[in-house]
Amino acid sequence: MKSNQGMSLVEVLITSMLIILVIMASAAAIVQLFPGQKTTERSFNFIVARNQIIDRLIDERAWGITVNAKENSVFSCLVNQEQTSTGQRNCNGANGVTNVYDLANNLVYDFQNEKLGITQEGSLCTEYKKSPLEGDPICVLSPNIKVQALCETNPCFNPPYLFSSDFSFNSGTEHTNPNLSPMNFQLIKSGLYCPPQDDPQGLTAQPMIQLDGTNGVKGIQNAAQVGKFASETVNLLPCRSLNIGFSIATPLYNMAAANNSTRVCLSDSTNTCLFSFLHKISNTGVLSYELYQNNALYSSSPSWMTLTGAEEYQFQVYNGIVKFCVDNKCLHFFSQKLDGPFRLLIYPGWVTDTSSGLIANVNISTFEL
Amino acid sequence: MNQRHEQGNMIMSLVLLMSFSIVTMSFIYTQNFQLRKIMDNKILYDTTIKAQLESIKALLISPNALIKTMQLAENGSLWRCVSDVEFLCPQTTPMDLMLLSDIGSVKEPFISNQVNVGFSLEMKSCDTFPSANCLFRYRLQWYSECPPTGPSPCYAPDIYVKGDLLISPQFGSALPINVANYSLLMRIK
Repeated sequence: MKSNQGMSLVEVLITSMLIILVIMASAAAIVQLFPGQKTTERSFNFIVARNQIIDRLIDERAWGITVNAKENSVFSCLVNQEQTSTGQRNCNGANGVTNVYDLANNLVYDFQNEKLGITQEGSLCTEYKKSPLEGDPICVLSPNIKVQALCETNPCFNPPYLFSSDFSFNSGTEHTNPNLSPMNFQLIKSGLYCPPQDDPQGLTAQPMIQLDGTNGVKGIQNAAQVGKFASETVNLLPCRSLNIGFSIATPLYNMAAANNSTRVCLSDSTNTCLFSFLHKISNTGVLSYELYQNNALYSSSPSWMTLTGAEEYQFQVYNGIVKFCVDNKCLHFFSQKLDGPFRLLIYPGWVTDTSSGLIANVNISTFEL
Repeated sequence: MNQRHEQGNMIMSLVLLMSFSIVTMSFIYTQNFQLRKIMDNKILYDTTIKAQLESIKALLISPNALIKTMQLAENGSLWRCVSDVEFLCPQTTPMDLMLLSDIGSVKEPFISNQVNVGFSLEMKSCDTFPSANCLFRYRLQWYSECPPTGPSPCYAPDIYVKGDLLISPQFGSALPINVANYSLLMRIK
């Protein structure tokens, strides 16, 4: 007797085929899903790794350690800023690959190692292979980070640096490389770095200068002479944030000759004045000043300002930019910059060879802008 | 006969269930993919803009770039306001600033004062802002500030540069950006 229960063979076959079809479609979808998911995750990991590089480059705290690393010759012109020879300070043409350190002096990115790479998970690795014929399936991304000094002139001192990236991918197995162009970046970093130097502590007694203080300097002229000056014995670096303050305690009234005026200047290491302040007083006792840039008159005291003699004057130097300020009000901005080690010179005013004049409170201090 | 119908219904249910599963999985996958894409962009743009901001700051403290920038005719009376103590610096609304790099020229400033010049997610300069290919723009402006107790206009005022991040509408609303996090304010004199 023919039973109505169960399915016929044809029904079983059709059902089985449908089930197989659905399973195959599902499997295909799942197979499609996982590689896609994997690629997305990898892209995410790469971007995180790229961002970590940028964050490390931006980090100011470890910048000095990276600059000072012996193998980073691209920065040697910054390290040599205390050198008076322009050749050693010249950054023109400086370019290459730099290693990057952290604050604890650990080598974080050994970019000079061609095998440095990034894994699919975004970690660093050292088995990257450049050749398209081979490739490491784990260490697949190469971060080519280059750096160059942004120089327009030669010589060029303490310029900003341009970091640029060009990532390469090679897994050895994938024929289609991922789109890496969104990962590329350019970063300009200030070359602001200052090698350590002694604090300014003394003035060369010429003529006799009484010294007082340690970091600050107070000089009192006792016996001014024609053409004599006092100078800071330590070469100062323009990369330091310097505030050089001074005041003229006893202005002299016989100002017929230029030598009679007190002059304070920032000079190069050969005592040639680059930026000068010349204190003046008229026959009627009106105080004024003139500012010189490379011995050419650059600016003078504003007509709307009345000087009383109690002012503190300041040269402020920041990353080579020079300003002149009166009582911390920076009125004058020089159009040229300080390119190398400089000194503070003081030419006290005088009346006769043996008369006394006075410059008081010459303070050299560092400050942060 | 009824049993056969039940069997057919069961097969149909099975097929529908599996189809529904596939559709659901595809939907979840698509959503997940889009979410990851948004996350990718989020971490990409954040660092891109930070790097751009760092570069602007670096140029504003670079003597060459700063002095050249201040002397540009395109930046109006900026240099006179900075260097001429007898000049009454106009107290106007902030004026757009063109920023040169150390090796830049007027034709290719690092930051242009042209409203259509910006940069892309890939940190490349572009001149179609605002658009999908030119998503961001830094608008730099300079202004002078007189002492609060003194007369205005004033001689030798303080000079500031401020920077505001502008975002193209094409960037979409999926990623709300707090532009204040990327703003800039620097006193240059």
